[in-house]
Amino acid sequence: MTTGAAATAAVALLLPAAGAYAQEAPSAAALPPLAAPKPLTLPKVTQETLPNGLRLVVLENRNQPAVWFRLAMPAGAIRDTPEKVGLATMVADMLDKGTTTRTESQIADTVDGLGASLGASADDDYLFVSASGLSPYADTLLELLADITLNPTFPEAEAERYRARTLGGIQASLADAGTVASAALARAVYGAHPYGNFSTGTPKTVPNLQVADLKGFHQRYFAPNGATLFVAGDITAAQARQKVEKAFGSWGRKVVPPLPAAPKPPSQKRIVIVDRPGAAQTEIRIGQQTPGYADPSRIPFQVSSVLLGGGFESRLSKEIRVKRGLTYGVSASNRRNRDAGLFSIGTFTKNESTGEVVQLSLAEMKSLRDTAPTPTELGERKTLLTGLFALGVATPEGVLTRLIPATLYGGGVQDLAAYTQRVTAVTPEDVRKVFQSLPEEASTVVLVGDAKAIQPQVAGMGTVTVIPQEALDLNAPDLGAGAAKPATP
Amino acid sequence: MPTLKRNAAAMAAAATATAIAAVAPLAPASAQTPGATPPVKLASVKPEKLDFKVNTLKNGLKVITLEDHTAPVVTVQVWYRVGSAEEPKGKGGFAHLFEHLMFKGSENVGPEQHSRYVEQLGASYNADTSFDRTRYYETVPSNALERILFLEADRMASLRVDEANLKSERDVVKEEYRLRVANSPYGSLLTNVLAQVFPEGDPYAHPTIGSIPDLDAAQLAEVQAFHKDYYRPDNATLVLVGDFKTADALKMVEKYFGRIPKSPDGAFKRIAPTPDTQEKATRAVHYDKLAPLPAVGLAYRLPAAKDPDIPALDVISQILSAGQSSRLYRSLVRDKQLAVQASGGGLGLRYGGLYFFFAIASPGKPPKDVEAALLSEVERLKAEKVSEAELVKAKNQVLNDRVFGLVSTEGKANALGEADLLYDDPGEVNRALEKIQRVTADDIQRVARKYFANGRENVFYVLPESMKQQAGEGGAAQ
Repeated sequence: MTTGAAATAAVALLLPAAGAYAQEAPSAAALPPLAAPKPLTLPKVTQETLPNGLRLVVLENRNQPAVWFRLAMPAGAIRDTPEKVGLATMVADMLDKGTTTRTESQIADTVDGLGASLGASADDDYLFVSASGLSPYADTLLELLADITLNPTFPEAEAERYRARTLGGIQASLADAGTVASAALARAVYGAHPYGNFSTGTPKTVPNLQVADLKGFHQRYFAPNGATLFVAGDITAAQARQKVEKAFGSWGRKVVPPLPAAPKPPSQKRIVIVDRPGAAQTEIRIGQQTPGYADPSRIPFQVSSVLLGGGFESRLSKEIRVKRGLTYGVSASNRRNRDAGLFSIGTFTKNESTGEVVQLSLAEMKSLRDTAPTPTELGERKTLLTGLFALGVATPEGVLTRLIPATLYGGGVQDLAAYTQRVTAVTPEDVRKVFQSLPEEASTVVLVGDAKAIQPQVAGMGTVTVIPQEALDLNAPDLGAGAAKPATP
Repeated sequence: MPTLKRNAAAMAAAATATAIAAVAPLAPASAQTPGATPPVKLASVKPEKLDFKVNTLKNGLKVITLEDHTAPVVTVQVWYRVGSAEEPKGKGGFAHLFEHLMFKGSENVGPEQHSRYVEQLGASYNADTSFDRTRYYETVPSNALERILFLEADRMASLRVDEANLKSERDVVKEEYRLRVANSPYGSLLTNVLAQVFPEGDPYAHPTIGSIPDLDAAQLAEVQAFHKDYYRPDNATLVLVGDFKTADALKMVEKYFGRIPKSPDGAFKRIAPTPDTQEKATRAVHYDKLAPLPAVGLAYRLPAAKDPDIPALDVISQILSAGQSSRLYRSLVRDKQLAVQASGGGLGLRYGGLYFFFAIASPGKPPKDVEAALLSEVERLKAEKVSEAELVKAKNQVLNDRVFGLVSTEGKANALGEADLLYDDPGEVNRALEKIQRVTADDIQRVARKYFANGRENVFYVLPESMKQQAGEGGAAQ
């Protein structure tokens, strides 16, 4: 039976993406031995640049009659100015709402008629235009992809619909405490830099996003030079080259404005409570800034975040969930954009245990600053990562997920080939150094929940600012605290 | 990373060995203008059949294997035929709590060691509980197959849980409850709709997550009894997909699972479903202090997932909700701007199911207008036959979803396990697509008239708390 957009009926053991850790060596007596590992063969990836500067990366996989196309341009939310937060996201959404030769209905009818997918989205650094479908439709899909990328018209009626729908959507998103917590953390850690934006926009900025802005954004930032088109699936490199030249060959180079400067990290520890009176649970985020993707610290940080909070066996999962039953999910991650990253811990717990969970999280980070992990513990976390890598590259989409950031930010497919060895090379002392570069004084703690219940539990931990959620301003580096009442000591 | 958009997934759509008959193009007689929508033609791609094997051990364990050598990985899934449908009154959430406890240790595996052994291999793994089944699954590099089989067999054969583990895991599940229900906008929606549609005592009348009082009532002795009563090889299916040789895999399965005794009598206690006798519409209004906007829905009871009418309902879901040309999106979201989201779809279960039409109202739009718009879409399905273009489009979407959905070993395993659960026959994966291809516009109209007949609708509103003061007597919303 088809499941439509119903809430999934199944409830699970773990939230997707969790962490793990180990105390004693497992009793190996009963466990059957592992067979010899099979060699990992990465799929063949070709790369070339067309005369107009468009970079083409092709990943051939003939196992099923499916093709994927993904075009990336450095036109992400980083391009939004403070008054126009939400513009990159709106541009992406509006690309398939009309071109010079097709209306929104014609595009939708055509794509759906093929059973295919076409769409666009913006992340912090890039705007992606994507299409996928059965391989006999490769030419049509590429032609559609080119049409919405090169020739969008941004009709006023469609822009009006988008603004109305988006304002409702923002209202709905911010009803979710977890969304609020993550958004507030990003703003607090990145300050005024666009990486801190709630990139869909705010109730103040969305009404100001006009067709002239959309057209200006498109004209300024959409260019073949600096863009990369990833093609994967049932297609050869030669076929891809020929089809892409046909679809995108006429796209002319242009001078694209430079990107803004990298963000500066905030200098002191602070604790922010976004007040939702009557909340049953507190969403907790703890984070700070790190270097960006290309910095060599990325792999040691990744290994460290998995040790701290990746999977069920991580330090945080063990202390907070397994030992004490204080949460259903806790994880750590280091999400790296081009110019900076965010190392963060995320979890949630009932009101009464909020302070305890914050203390436990900070204590685990301190423990790893003071004492390096054992080789056994670290070894198991590393094999988790290298094993997951092997699983990840088993499908074309899985390869793309890793190949795309590697190509856009790093060394391309060589990064994939070197990954296992780089992870394996991380030492216990490397991990300790990672945590030493993440001092508590530089942390931001965001708590979203009932301030009356949770404030007393964290009052002793540092300067606390309480902001009622209705006063929360995700566009302001102080989150709107200036307008809010100061916390009573 | 942004993810590729997908149309609504179709489960268990399968390849067929016979050629799919091409439908004649529907082009208008005039020449095509550039940019005009090309005629919708049935896709000519013939997806491969899944060449799986079924073997049953002497103790009744059903073993489904499918070799896939495209990558050195393997997916292992154990599907136990027990879920919240087996929970009597007062025990809501027990099967799911039990699922958590299955990670707490067995005869040869210490507490938490299952996770540790699995994670150090590099694994994508989890478990989940639904109405009809609880399943445990891992995807690992293929050289670890034997170890995973050992671990799964050990906890099928024995479970070691103590009072301390029960208490702490109960706390974890209560946090999950708070996350999904108590602290989540529309969190109680499923609970309320199930209670509205299914009569009291029906196995599907309560949600799998249960309730906090019921969770608090769970006892350690009941946990051990539950394992003994339901976690038996003859109440389970093992699915293996990936890079192994079938003969070797079956030898390993026999080695680890063969020794587990079957149940004493093969009779597993089930709660009988209630007959579907609804003739009178129902209406319920709920207030939710976290709901930012009104949600409006219509729910209809359906027959079991394997009923021959279900493929037509699957096609209806595509037409209503799949893609930006779908009816509910185009009508309610785009044209009338009544809703920020709108969809229709089904929940298919072993003994019955639920079909729903659902929308979240745009700010300022009265819920009764959204209700009227949804009802008019229901009426449309009953009054007019769907167009040939919509029908072919839906079939192409299902085919596309099948091809993409079966790329990974997880996708294949899910399809096989789901077919086995709902049809008692994994072979359904290779018949399902053809059933979809054969659905006609007449079928759709007939099925809509039957299941969406007047009197069968269950209307529900979930309103922001702030609308309570505005409501008239009896809670009827504006």
